[in-house]
Amino acid sequence: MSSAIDPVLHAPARLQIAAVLGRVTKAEFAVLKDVTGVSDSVLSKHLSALSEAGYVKLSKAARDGRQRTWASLTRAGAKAFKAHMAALHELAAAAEQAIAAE
Amino acid sequence: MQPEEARTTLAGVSGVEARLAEKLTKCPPWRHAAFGMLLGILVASIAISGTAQIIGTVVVLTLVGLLLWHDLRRYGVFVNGYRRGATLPVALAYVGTLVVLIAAAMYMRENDFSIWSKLGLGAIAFAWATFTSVQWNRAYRKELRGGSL
Repeated sequence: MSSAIDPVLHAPARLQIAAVLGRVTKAEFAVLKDVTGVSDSVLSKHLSALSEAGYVKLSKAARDGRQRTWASLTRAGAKAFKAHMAALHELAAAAEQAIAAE
Repeated sequence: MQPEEARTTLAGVSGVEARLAEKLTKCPPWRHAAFGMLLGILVASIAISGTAQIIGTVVVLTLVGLLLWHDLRRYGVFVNGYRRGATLPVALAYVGTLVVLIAAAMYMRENDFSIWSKLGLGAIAFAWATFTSVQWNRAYRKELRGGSL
């Protein structure tokens, strides 16, 4: 296998967050929560882990008198996401080839 | 990680992208027309006169700010129109045509074309930008529904 599984992106919810951020420039916390279907606390935890790894940049902006959290994927995050997805595709393809060979 | 787990994870990513497509690409017709209006006003104002161009630019910049504000509030995301991916050819075609339309507008201004010709050019710009907005949205939806990588 040429690509490696990234331990930071191993958790499915974390990978889904990265997938969403890979498709937009930046997204608000509420949108990430809605699309990934995780709770506030789980999302906060995953965003913190991704931020600590340098994969996600978090920022705060006021809207309607409330502070909103926005997240965006960093260049390192985009690169890691791409490599992780390639590794997953390789794994899935290898499994399909093994089934076809049987 | 086991191959079956990889497949399940990939399916989860595709599901999230499909939900994102549902959420982001439900764009009302007026939103496409508003984008078209930006280019229409800009091109028509350039064609009319130098003063109209200044006023038109201020109006367009104000409308850009309003649209950005609306999009951030409604969708909770910001997507760069010139991002890489399936939407990039649409964005580049838009920029290419924008340059041609602006050049045509300047030519009309310099050569004293009638006001109706200038407004007609603005209408063409409006129609082209509205069409481009619809096409960009379709390309984005197709990309999101097509799955990751």
